[in-house]
Amino acid sequence: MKLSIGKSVPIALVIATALGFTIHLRKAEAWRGGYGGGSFRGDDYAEGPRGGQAVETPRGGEAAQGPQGTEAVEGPRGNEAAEGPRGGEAMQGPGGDTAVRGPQGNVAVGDRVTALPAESNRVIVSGQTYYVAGGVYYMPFYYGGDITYVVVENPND
Amino acid sequence: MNPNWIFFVPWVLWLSVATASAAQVQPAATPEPEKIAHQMCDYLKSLKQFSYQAEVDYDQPDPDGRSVQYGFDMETYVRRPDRLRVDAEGDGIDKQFFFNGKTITLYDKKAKMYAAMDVPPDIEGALEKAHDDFDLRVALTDLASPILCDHLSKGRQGSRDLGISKVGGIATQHLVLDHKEIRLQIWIEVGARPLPRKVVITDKNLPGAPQWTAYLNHWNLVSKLNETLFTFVAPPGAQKIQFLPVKNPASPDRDDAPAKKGGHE
Repeated sequence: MKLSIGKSVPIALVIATALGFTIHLRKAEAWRGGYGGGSFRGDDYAEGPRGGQAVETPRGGEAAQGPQGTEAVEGPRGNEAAEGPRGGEAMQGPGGDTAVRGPQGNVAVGDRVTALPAESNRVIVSGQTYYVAGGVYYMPFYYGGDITYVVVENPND
Repeated sequence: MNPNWIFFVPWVLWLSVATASAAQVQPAATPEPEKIAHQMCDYLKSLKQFSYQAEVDYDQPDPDGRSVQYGFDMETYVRRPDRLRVDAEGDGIDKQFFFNGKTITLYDKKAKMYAAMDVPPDIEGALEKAHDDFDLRVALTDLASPILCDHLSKGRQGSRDLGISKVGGIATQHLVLDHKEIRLQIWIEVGARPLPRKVVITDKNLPGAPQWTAYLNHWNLVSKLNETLFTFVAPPGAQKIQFLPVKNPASPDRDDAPAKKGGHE
């Protein structure tokens, strides 16, 4: 499915979702530290975590993969671990079933990563900013209070 | 009269007086945690505007149960009924949150990216929409909600008052509010200004029981908060992006969502 994303992000979102374009969202974070912590709102606060999602570092990607997963552990920069908030090595999650791979991995349109591959470049297509690495295009969004990047179709196609 | 009764009368009188005296010197009953929490909620709700700063530390868990700790500083400004701003800067965080009565804007200063959403024209309505539609939560903004205590009591399974404790030299009442997965502790200033001085949220079930801790200080209840404080002006070069909606019709978390096409998340 080819999507001409870039003319207008909201329209792109509507079209994408209407056509079944899957943006892989998670239902809830396992542990809300950082900026989204300290909230008394919502079911998470009352009920706590659901599912075995990986805990994200404040800035780093989800390099970890839990024991339930079948994929090899691989960070968003290939085999490197994601960085922590001060540029150091990120801690691994407690057993989530998500993993993030670099552009050499099996990324699919709709995948969401919290850190771009190191070799990514910023490009602007029809006024919309994308990041491209290894031929894979990423579009930035806010997911909750965090910036995230969703793999999209090549906007030039 | 039986002589034996004459013998007992003084003792009966003495016991009556002693019992009454004992009742008078007994300390007052321990205040109920809910009552203290409501005093805080009502007081915050009564304030037309306020600001405070907070130092936040939070644990980032490791699979083996050990945690590392990160932190950031916050400044929060509230003007009822429809203005709110939160600045946060620290480990991996450099963000500004604006609510101007019409829109919520979130700006990441480091990434130079911002997004905005239309929201209801009141603080609670705005925060609820941000949470429900976009899973956006910002630390301690619920303190500005006029229904703060409703949020605090939702799902609560128990509460305790652990008594007086000093936070930054200020006498506070230490409350424990237990939920199924979360334990919330609040230290509320004793006296005429029942302000929250410390908040600790603990996930009771995760390995290592990670905590999110905030020390709230520099409360200012009198300074006038100007409109410019709540108005976001995009800096030159800042990039506008969108919030991803939680209720994305194609989200795999939905029961009626189409099958996942692939990928890892």
